[in-house]
Amino acid sequence: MFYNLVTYIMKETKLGDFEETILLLVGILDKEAYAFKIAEEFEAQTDRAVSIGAVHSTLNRLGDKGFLTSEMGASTAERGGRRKRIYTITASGQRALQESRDFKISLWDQFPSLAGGNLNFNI
Amino acid sequence: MKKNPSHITPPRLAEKLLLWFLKDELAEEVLGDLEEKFSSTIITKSVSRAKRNYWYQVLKYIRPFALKHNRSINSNQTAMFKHNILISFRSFKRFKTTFGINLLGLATGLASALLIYLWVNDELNVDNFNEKDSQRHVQIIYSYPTSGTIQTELNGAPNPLFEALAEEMPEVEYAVPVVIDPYYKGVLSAGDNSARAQFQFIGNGYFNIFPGDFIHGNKHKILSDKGEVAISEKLALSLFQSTEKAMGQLVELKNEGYGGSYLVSGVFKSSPNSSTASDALFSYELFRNPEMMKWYNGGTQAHLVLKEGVDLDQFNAKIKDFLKTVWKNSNFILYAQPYSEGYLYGNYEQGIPVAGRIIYVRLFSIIALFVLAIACINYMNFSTAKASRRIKEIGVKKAIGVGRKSLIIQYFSESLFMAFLSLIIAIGIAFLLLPQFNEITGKQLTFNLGSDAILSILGITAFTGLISGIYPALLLSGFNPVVALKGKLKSEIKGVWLRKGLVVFQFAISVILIVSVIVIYKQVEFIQTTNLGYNKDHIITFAKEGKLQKDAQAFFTEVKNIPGVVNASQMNGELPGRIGFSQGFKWEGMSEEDKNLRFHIISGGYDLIDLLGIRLKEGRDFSRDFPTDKDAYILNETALKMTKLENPIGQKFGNFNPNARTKEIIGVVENFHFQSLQEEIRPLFFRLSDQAEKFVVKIQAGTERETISRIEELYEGLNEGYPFEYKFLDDDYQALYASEERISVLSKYFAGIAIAISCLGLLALTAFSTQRRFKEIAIRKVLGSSGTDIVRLLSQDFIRLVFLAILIALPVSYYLMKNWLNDFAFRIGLDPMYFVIAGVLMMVVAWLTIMTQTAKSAKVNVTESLRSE
Repeated sequence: MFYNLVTYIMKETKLGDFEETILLLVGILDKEAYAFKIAEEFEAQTDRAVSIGAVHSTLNRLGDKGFLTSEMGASTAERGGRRKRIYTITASGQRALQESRDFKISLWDQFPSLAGGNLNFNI
Repeated sequence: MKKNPSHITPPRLAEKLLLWFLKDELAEEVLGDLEEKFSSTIITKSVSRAKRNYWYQVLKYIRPFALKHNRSINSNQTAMFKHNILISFRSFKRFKTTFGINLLGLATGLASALLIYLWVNDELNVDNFNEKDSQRHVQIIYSYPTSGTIQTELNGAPNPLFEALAEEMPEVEYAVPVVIDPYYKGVLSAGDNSARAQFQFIGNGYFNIFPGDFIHGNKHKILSDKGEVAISEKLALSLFQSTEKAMGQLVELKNEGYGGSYLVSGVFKSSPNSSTASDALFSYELFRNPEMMKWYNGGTQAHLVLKEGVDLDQFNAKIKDFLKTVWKNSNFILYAQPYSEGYLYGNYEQGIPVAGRIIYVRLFSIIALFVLAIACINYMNFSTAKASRRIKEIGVKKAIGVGRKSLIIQYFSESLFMAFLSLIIAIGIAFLLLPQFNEITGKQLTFNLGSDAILSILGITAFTGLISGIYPALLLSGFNPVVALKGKLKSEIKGVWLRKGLVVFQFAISVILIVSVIVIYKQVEFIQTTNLGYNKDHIITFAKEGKLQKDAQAFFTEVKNIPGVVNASQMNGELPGRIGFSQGFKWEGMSEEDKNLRFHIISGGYDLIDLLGIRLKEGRDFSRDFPTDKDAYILNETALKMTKLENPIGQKFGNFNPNARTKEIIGVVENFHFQSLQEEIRPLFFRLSDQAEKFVVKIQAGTERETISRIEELYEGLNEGYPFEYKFLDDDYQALYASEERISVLSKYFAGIAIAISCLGLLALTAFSTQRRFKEIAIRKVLGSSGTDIVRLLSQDFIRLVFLAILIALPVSYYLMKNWLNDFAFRIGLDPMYFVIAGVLMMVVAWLTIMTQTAKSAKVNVTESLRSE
C-alpha cells in the first residue's frame, strides 16, 4: 500500500519526455486522437517505430495523472466495427505542457551562446 | 481471395492470446486499433508482414496496465511458494530415511524410464525417414499358401511387379525397384587394395524415399549410367584412403554375373537409422535384362510412392489379387505396407502385418510405466503414512483460514519438487549407465537433447510428480480441522485401505516381472541349448569365390590335410535362416494341390550332412562311389510326410521342367531346425552341387586359432585377391536370437529395479508403522509377549498383503507369458515351478525386508519407550 502511494505521488508531478510527446500528439490529432492514430503519427513525425501497446500504456498513465480524459467514439469498418477510445487533453494537461515548455525556455535562456540570440527558434 | 485485403483476417491465435490476458474492458478498443493497424499494413506491405506485425503488437500489449488482475503477480503467492518449499524442506529433514528412500526410488524409477525412453525413441525412428516422398512410401509384400499356412515374404517379389503396378494402378505416382539380398556381394578392388562389399541395385527416385548422405556426388544424378557405382565412406577409405580420391576412379568388382569395372560417381555416409545398409550401390538398369524381367524371376522389392490422399485400405483391397491378373500361374497375394512401419511390424498373419518388434517397444514402455508407478506408490504411501505426523500442521493452517486449494497446491508443489530433485539424480544415473545400456541393447544411444527430448523428459517428470502428489494432496487437504487438531484421524481409515491396495499393486507387478524374467530366461536358454538336429559348434564358413568358385578340388584335398580340420564341404545359403526354396515338384501319387508345395533346398558338397551332424533316418548319404548321386535327393522328415511317400528310397522325384529327368530319392534325414525356432520345420531336401557359394569347414575343438590361420594361408595362396573372412556358424545362430537375448538381459535388470523399489517402499512402511506402535509393543512385552510373538504380530499385516499380491499376480503372469511364448513354434511349457519359484522368492524377499524392521522393534527397551509421556 505504502509503495503504491509513493509512486502515485511521483506520477502526479512528473511528465516524461515520451509522455510529453504523446500528450502533444493528442492535442495535434484532436478528434482523431486514439491509440492507433497516435502511434502512426508518432512514427510519421519522429521516424521512430513504436508499438500501439506502448502508446496505449502511456495514454493510460497520462489518464491516471489527470492530464487526459477519454471516451468511446465512433466505429469504422477497418476496425471490424469496433469503437475507438478518443483522448482529450484536460486543463491540468494543458497546464503541464505549458509548464514544461516554460521550464525549457527558461533553461534555454540561461544557455550562454544561445541566449545571445545566435539561434532563432519560434516556439 | 488473397488479393482482396478486406477478406484477410488477423491471426486468430494471436487474437485469442490477446483476449486471454487482456482486461475485458480494454478488449474492444485494443482489438479495433490492432485490426486497423493490420489492414493498413496489408495495403503497404505483404500479408505475412502484417501477420507478423500483429503478433508483435499483441506481445507488446503484455504490460501491467493491460493485464487482467488475477494474472498479475500476487506477492502473497510468491510468499506462499517460499513457505511451501520451506515446509517441504523441514519435512524432508524430519523424516530423513523416508526422504532418502523416496528420492532413491523416484530417481531409479526415472532413470529407468529415461533409458527406456531413449531406446523406444530410437526404435520408433528406424526406417522413419524424412525424405521428400517418404510419407507416401509403401513396400509391396507378398504371401502365398504353403503347407497349410500362409507364408509372407518381403524379398524376392517377381521382378516385373513394380513396373506393372506403376502402369496399371492410377494411385501409384512412381515405383522404385530395389534389389537387396545377402546374395549380392563381391570383392571390390582398386589398385592393390580390395575389400568385400555387400551391394544393392537401386532404381530412379530411390533418394526421394530413402536417406542418402552424400559426401561427394549429387544423389539425384548418380547412377544415371549402368557403369557407375556409389560407394560408402568406409569402402572409399579402405580402397582409396580418402573419399575425395575415390571420385571418378575405376573400381573392379569380382562377382558372378556383375563383375567388371565401374566408375565411382558418389561417396555416401551410411545412415544410422536405416535397417538396410550396404557398401555399394549400383543402378537397377545393371540388374535388368530381358530374362530377369520374366514373371518367374524374383528378387526385386517393389517400393511405391502413392499419390497424395490415396486411401491405403482401398488400395490394398484393389491390389490383393492383382498378380493373378497379370501372371496366371501365380497364387500370390499382395499387400502394401508403409515402409516406415516395416521395421516394427515385421510379423505377418494371413499376409497382413500384425506385430513384430513393436511388441518389445510396448513391453518396455509398459515396464517403464510400471517401474515409475511403483516409485510413485512409494511416495504416496509415505506421504499419507506421514500424515498423522503432519496432521496438526494441517489443522492449524485450516483453522487460520487456509483454503483447501492452497493445501492441494502445497502438496503438489512438494511432490513436484521431489520429482525434479529426483530427475537431477536420475539424469546422472542414466548418464553413467548409458554405455552399459548401449552394450546390452546393441545401439548407439546418446543423450541427444533435442527440444523434443527435453520436453518429453520434463513431461515424464512432471507427470510423475503429479501422480505421486495427487493422492496425498486430495486426502490430506480434506481433513476436518477440528478432528485434525484433536489429533484423531478418522479419515485415515480410508487411507489405510488404499495404502494397502497400492502395496498389493506394487508387489503384484513385481511378481509378474519375476515370472516374466524366469520364463524369458528359460525360453532363451531353450533356444540356445535345444537340439537343433545339427551340430553348429566349431564350424566356420567363408566365401567360395574367384578361381575356387569353379574348381575347388585342390583346396579340398589340401584343407583336409591340415591337422585340425575334421572335415570340409560346401553349401549354399545360411544356416539357420537363409535357405533357398522352390516349388513345382512332382512325385508318384501326388495330388493337384501338391503342385504348390514349396521345398527348401540345400545344395552342397559331399560330406555336408555328416559334417553338420545331421542324422540319417533311412537310406544313405551322397557318395562319391555312385556317379548317379549327382542327380539324387535326400529329403527331410517333413518333406516325407508332405509327399506321403510310403517307401521313399528309390522313388522318383523331380521338377516339372519337361527337359529335366526325374531323379531318385536316396535317403531321408531327421528333421533339423534350418530356420529360426519361431518357424515350424518346413519341407526340405539336399542336392549335390560343386558350385556352392561358400565353404564349410569343421575344426577340431581347441585348435581353432592355428587351424584357421593355416586355412587362411592356403585360401589366400590359391585364391589371390580375395581376402579370407570367416564366420562361426554358432555366431550366425546367436545373431538370429540377438533380440531375445537382449530382452532377456534387459528384463532381468528392470525386474530387479522394480523389486528393489517395491522393497524399499515396504521397508520404509514397516519402519514407520512399527515406530508408531512402540508403546503398544512395550506394553505387550510388559505383559509377557515374547520377541517372536511381536515379530509375528508386526509382520503379519504386510505378509498378508504380499501374499495377496502373489495370488493376484500369478494368473495374470500366466496369461501374459502364454501369449509371449505363442510367438515361438518351438517353446518351453509353462512349468508350475516357475510360478512357485517367483512366489516364494517374492515372499522371502518381502519377509526379509519386513524382518529387518520388526526384529529391531521387538528388542525395544520397555522402560525407554514407556517413560516418555
